[in-house]
Amino acid sequence: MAVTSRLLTLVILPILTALLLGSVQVAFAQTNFDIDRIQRATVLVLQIRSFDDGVITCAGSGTLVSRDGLILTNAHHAVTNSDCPGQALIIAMSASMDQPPIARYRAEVTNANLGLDLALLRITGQLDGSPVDNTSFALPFVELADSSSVATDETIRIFGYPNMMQSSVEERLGTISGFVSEPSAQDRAWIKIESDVPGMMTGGGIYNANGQLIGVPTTIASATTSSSCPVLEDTNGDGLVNQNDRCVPVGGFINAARPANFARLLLRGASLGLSLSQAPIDPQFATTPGGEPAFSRLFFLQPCVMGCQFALSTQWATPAASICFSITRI
Amino acid sequence: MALFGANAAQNRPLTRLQRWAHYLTMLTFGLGLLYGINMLQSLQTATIGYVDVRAGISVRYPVNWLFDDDGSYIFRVRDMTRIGYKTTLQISVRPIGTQSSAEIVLNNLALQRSTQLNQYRTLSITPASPLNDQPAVAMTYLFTTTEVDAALESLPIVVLGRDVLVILRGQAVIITFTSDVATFDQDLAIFDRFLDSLELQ
Repeated sequence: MAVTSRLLTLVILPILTALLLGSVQVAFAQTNFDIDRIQRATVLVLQIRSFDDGVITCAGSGTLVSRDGLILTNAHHAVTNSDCPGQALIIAMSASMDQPPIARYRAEVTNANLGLDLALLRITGQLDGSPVDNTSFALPFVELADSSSVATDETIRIFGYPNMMQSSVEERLGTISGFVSEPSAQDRAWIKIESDVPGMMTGGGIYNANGQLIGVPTTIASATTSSSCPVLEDTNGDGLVNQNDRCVPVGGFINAARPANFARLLLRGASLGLSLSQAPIDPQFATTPGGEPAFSRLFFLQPCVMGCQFALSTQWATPAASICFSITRI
Repeated sequence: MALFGANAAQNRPLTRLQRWAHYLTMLTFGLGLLYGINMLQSLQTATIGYVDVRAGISVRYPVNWLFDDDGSYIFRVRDMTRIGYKTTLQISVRPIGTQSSAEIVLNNLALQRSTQLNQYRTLSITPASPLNDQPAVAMTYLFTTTEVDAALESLPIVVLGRDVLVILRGQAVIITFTSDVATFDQDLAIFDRFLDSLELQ
């Protein structure tokens, strides 16, 4: 009897230990939050008037989403418009996490959707204009998660640059407080967040417990309506820095984010060399699209388009995107 | 006996006069050595003063360096005895907004230089030792240049630079030091003495 109980102990204990260790490993794998990688993948996007004078017109955060230099950010501070009239983009990164960002690369808008306020940038050259071979890049990047699986009260972490070049990437903790619907995106057009996120973090990244990007914090900055529009430099060349110089609009605290699933469409389009939506430059950012597309003669296409819209809002968004892009190019 | 006498002469103890003569000789030699070293140091670190009342700057720079103030800077001095890149010290000022920061000015400077200098790269932006009790920020960068004389075949010269920026009375004072990367560490002592002598009014 004693031998049997000892035998059982010798057999059961190792099995229990192995199971316990395995579950701990699985738990660690599920909470694999690579904070160093996320910090290194977060960049500062500077829109400047031109490469000749380097006058900053707008700024915000961004996130590297591919190793060859694709950056996800907001369109309002990247695409030229009346509030942000700059013609060039500079990407700044922190060499180490205890140093402020340093301007490193030039970039261009490769894909943008003004209605969603999302833009994809691509690094095109070094700061001095010398070309770069994007295929040889090995930049740290983050993965996009399925934002439709995000739930209310989920704890999130927001990364971005909190100010204009004075400090490195910072993190804010927050929770998801709800969702806002729009006609085109059904019930998840916006993710409402509760956190203390400064306006300069717009365009950064919101991450789930697994370190995957689930959203892009978004706030609109305007020179006329922004709570903060600091005058940073002598933009008119009169030797003085005063109210006659252009200010750089910084939005207020952020409480909403665009789901990452919208960015998937932009990424897919960029990889296919397509432009999802490049509306004419308009100072009025439309947060709701203009309704369903109308076709005058191609009546047979309307069911296809409606089918595409449905497919894009479901789990078959990625394969549907390539089909729908083909249809919309007809 | 004679041998004993010669040996006795050699082993004769020193007189007081001889002993003091030895001491005096050694002392004279030591003093002369120190004096010579001091003279050498003085010649190597000799400086000449520069004062700009309008800009509120007073500084001392190495003698025999070429001075000019014709560019977009307050003044610039270069060591023309160097072969290749001429080590340069320069002071310039820029207007700055009250809500701006040293880092923004330095990055703007980097943007402008990147279009003017070959292979320009910013290496770091870090806090520097306070200048005249004002907090300072230093930016280290590098770029390449070539020999001015086209008849001389030479490899591109890598130049290392350091800007120290301090904000004073609504303007950013930028002290620039550039030198061939091969002699940068040695020349840094010149830059440190230059910064120590700088007075901003």
